[in-house]
Amino acid sequence: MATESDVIVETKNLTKIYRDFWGRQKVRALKALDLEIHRGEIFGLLGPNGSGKTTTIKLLLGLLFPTSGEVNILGRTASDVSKNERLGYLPEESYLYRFLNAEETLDFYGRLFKIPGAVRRQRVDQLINMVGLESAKKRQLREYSKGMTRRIGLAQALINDPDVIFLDEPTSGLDPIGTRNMKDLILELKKQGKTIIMSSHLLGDVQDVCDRIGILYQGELKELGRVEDLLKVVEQTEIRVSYLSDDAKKKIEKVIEEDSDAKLEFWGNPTTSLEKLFNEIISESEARPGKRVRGGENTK
Amino acid sequence: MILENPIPPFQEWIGKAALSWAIAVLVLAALAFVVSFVLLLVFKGTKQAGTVFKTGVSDAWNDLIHFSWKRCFAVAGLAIRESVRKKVVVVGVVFIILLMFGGWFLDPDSKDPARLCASFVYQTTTYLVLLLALFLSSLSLPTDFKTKTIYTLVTKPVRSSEIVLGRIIGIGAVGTVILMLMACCSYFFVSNTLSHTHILNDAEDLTYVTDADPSTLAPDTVIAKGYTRLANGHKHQVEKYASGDLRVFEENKHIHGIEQTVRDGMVRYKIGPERGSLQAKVPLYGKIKFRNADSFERPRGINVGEEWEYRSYIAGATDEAIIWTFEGITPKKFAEGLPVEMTISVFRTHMGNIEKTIMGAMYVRNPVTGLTAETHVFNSEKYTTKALTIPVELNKSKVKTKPWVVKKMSDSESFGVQSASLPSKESYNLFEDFVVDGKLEIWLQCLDSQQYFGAAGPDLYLRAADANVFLNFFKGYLGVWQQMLIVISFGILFSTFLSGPVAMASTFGIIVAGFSKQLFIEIAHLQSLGGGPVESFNRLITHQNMMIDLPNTFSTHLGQTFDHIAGAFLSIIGLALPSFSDFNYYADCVANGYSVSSNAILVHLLTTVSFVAPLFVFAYVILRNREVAK
Ligand SMILES: Nc1ncnc2c1ncn2[C@@H]1O[C@H](COP(=O)(O)OP(=O)(O)OP(=O)(O)O)[C@@H](O)[C@H]1O
Ligand SMILES: [Mg+2]
Repeated sequence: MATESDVIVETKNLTKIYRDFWGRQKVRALKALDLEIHRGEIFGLLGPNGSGKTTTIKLLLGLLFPTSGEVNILGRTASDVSKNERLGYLPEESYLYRFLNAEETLDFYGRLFKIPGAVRRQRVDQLINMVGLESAKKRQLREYSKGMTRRIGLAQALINDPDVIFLDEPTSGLDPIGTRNMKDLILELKKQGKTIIMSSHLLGDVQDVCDRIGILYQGELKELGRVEDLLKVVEQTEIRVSYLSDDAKKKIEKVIEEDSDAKLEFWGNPTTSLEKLFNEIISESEARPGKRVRGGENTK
Repeated sequence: MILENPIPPFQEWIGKAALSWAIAVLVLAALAFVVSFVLLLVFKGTKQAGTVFKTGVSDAWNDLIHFSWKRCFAVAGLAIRESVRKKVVVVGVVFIILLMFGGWFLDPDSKDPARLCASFVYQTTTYLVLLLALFLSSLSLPTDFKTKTIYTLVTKPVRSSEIVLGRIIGIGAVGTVILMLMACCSYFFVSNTLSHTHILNDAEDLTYVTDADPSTLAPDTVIAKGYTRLANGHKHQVEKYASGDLRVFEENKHIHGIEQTVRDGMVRYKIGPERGSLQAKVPLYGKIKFRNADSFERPRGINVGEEWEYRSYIAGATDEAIIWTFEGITPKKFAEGLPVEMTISVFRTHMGNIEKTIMGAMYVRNPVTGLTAETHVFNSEKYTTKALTIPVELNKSKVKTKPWVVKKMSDSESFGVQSASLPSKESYNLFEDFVVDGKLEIWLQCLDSQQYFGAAGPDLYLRAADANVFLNFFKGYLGVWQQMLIVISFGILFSTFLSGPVAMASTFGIIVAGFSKQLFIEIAHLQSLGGGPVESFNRLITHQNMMIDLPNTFSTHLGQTFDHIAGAFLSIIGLALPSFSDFNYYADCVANGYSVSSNAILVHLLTTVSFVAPLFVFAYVILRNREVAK
């Protein structure tokens, strides 16, 4: 179990209700979220469109004010600007000044961290190199394609060599190679001891890189735990054997038949995946709304 | 033309101004505080409101101690880039086009072309620069919100205060550069429009009045007279003297130099460029008081009823006098005598001979001994500026044998000055016999009975010096610059909580209301004829005269109650309203040939800061507590 100081982000009963101008309730985007994210882990927020992933990240960053509940991030409140010194944030879409070019963009954000000139120039070059934009670094961002904007957005999030990085759908808009690079980069950042909080609905991506995930559905946390634990199907047993003879196969079938409870459901190559889990949770939640009593840490 | 309501001296002004500023800021801050706290209570409940408030204060403190000029200038740099890349230079082009058209429409035959030109360029620059400031400031932050670039920005360690101040600085810098370019263009335009010479041809334009040999005549005898040829709609009278010198008389507020050359027995004249169209006189103002017919001192003279209250009058051929007391008069400053310029208003009770001007006399008086000497007898026409010089050596025959007295209301018995005759001297010196500790009185009396002279404080001044005309022209743009900063601050403030178009409309409203602040305050205090907005509207649709009382009905009362509430609301806005028309001072100065005083610059600079600073704080507080991602 992680120690207290290892908790980078903590939310208690975090709730967000979007209201209109007159204060009338529009959407309950997040319902009583309790969450702890630890130093050095990659945490994935999963959920269908409109489930509250972006809302959660914005609340953590102080871009939105919670309707109720608390956020503690790096030992500070979300409204304390000092926390930003050690943060990096890649928004859902890269919200950058379109009249600047790549170099100017990174230079500007570097200045906001008061990075000294020489170091800043070096970091800007290095990041532009890393995201593969050397050839376009003098072009204004208004001319950039979606993927290119995404890349410069990522570079911008890393300008201060942050300890905690928020990535809102990091792979959206990227080509397969870009996606691969992004995933490698995330793992590389983890190796450097950074904490990463990412949201995505691309399950493959999450499965590949995340240590722990939380699944949101209509603003409620439905599942929370380590990826390998969640994907372990406890009631099922999987035996993988190479070159099994027909004879042995028959014997095994017989043994299973002898077990009164056991029932042979499937015989073949199992395809348990995050996708399956995800779909299961969604359909279950649709059938029975409310908190789910099953699964990883959520059951405690 | 005399400047009315000159800016009060800084030391006199600062106390009262600081107080009313502090009151206005406190009232508005308290109001904002109460409103936001009530809103918090309503939406969050007592317990949470307290917590929110506490974190708010601690966050503000953190922001304050972490404020960084580096980040502030980074934001300023961004604002500059944004403006430049979004091609604000267009405004400059518009200005140049306006100048080109302006050149066609300005009346070339004007009696005071310098004033016309200067007023035109200052007005055009003011409107264009304020419009530019309005656009840049009120659209900048809303664009950030609309494109959501603000998300990326506020998740960096940059404080809201730096975002706001950086924007003010950046947009201010862009405006300053544009303003400077416009000032240069304007100077070029004005000097180009004013510059001209005339042709003078010896044979055709001059008439010789004597056949005598000039060398036998006194050197200042006029031997030839005439007029130059027409240029810029006017011509100058020219006189040639026996000494061979020529003089070009003033016309349309300027003169020309003249040179003559003799070649092949032919006399040719070359008239030089115009001089004196643009001036930068440095006036030294005195304090005005009046003496009534019983020799008592009064702050005001007679009200002749016809004129607006600003000037007050003395009756002719009585003991009444208008008295100016000057300070700081030294022989060093006025070695050549005291150059007095005055614009005296004349009120006639009978027209008499309308051609005949009214006679007046000017005196200097020692403020301690009461020794008085007549310096000039002059005739006065209505509202023309007269320039007279009081000489340093005063003629014995002009010195009064008895000192003149002014009795104070408090000491009706002892006069404060001895009324006995003063020992008479052979010769009198202005600085030795009349000036005491740099103080001197100048008196005016009207000599024609049943006629009146009127004046206000600034109507008579000493022309202490002449400042650099070129510099003065540019100083005049300080007024535009100061107004621009105020507009930018308002634009930024509104854009922290309103969408672009609404922020723009609000800032525009401030500009319009600020240019007519007086009227605004009158409406707010229900002093204007016909009542407040609802009552006026009622009168308008029911076709009722503005003067009659409305019927005593419920709806009338309802309307008037509403007007009182609206009036209170407007009064509060009035507190925060800058009086833009005060900044006309600068353009008036330059256009009328006065030097822009450092005192005025100081006063207006402080006024500007008194707006920019609280607006900045308000903008910070709003942006800081705004939910960015909403
Ligand atoms: N500014 C807003 N005003 C009102 N409702 C909002 C606002 N932003 C988000 N919502 C609502 O809150 C809910 C959660 O939105 P959110 O953006 O957090 O979803 P998400 O999980 O990030 O979805 P996606 O995968 O599409 O990015 C949605 O129902 C959305 O309509
Ligand atoms: Mg999202």
